[in-house]
Amino acid sequence: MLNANFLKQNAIWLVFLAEIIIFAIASDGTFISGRNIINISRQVSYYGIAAIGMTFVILIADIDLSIGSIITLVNVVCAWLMVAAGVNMWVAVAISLIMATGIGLINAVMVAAVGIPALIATFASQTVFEGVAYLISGGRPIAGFDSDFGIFGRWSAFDFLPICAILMIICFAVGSFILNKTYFGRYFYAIGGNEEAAELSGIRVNRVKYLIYAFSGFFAGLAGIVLLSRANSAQSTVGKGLEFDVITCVVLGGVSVYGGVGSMSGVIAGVLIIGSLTNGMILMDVSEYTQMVVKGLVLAVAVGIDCMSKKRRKR
Amino acid sequence: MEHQIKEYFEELNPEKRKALLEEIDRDTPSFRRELYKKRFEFRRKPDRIADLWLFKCVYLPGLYRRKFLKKATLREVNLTIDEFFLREKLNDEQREELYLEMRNAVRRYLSTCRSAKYASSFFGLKKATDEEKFQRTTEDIWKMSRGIARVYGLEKELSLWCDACYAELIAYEPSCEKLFRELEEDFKK
Repeated sequence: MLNANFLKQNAIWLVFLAEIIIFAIASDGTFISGRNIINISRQVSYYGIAAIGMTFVILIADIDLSIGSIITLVNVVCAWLMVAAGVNMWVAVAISLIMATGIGLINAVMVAAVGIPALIATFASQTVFEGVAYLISGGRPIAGFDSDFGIFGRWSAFDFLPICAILMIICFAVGSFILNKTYFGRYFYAIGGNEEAAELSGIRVNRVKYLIYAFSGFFAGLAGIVLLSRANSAQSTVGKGLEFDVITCVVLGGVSVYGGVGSMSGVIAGVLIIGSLTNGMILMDVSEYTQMVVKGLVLAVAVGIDCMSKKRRKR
Repeated sequence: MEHQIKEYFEELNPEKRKALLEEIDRDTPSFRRELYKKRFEFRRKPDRIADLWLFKCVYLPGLYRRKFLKKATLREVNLTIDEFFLREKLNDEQREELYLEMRNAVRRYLSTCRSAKYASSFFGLKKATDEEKFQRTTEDIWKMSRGIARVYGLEKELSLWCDACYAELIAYEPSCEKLFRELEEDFKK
């Protein structure tokens, strides 16, 4: 039934639908061709995977600015392990993911144990790990991986379904399960809603924060692996600015910057909107700089809507 | 004795409340004791004090906002009703004690709503004004009581809880009454 409540509750999906229609018309149908849809699913996979960890972090009213540099570092380290150190592909992936989770834990120590505001702590680690990635790679690209490494980013199941998209769907299912079906998910909402009350109710808030930042690091690491496999070459600039795209997806998906509000389904819509927007603009031959302007505006609008809805309620 | 009982229901610290309870009941089973056990006992680690009802105060607004998984959410709200003893057949005295225990839980929740972190935005960078805190507090209290009861058609079952939340909110900050009424009106629309 198309009433006001339905429109309000599903606004994000309607925006996505409108976007599809606009780009489909503007591109004479190329945008909705099977090949382009597969292409979009590949493009959004690493945003989507990284957005899951970011959702958890924003739900507790924190932020993780380091995920772009985690993606870069995982790219470089995994490539270096496989090419320069001759480590087996699966071992290199495992080491990289453990390292990414470890970086998440370092962020958690700074935020939860030391008490540095998340914005500053993760900004510091962003700078540090971006520098480390440069130091390892010497600023040069690393290539020449085993052809099997394409499984994470270039291979498809049944010749049409990208494995990276399947990986993203699995990650979203896991994220959704954590949020809706586990105690930890309840704790995330509780901490985001009222941290002090959550602590008094018996939740070990600091421990939960460790877990959340570890998740954020892990998912960013996995996104880095997918990106590396897709590009087939490691670059020390690959993750630069990616955190803003991911934050845009999450906030656009309805996760409030005030904490305690949001769902994984909304984030999926946010990821699809940003992925389609990027793809549509590429099809329309929009320059990269204009794309940056558009994405920045989308972030501002998404946060603005969140703030306006709060203000409207205040009146 | 009456003075001690009043003090017991006004005290917010669970350990002090336990000591008071020992003084009042002296090892004899009572409904107060049952309520205390239900509310503060951490089932997996009995030596740790938790506050299940305070957790419900923090968690119920989240359930109110859920757009999907409505059946699962209804199950959770029904579980909360059971945990609040709201389906038990109680005599007047027990009902009064349950009401006072609920008010105590809500008061403990409200005691955290003046903290600097509460209702802050932009990742803790922007602290909330008193007005913003009252607004958020009213919204949270409304969602955890009348809001969730109305969404899931459980007004009758949750009526005692709703009354306790409302009474405690008004005692906390009288100006919240107007905001609360506005939320009621908004919901009706």
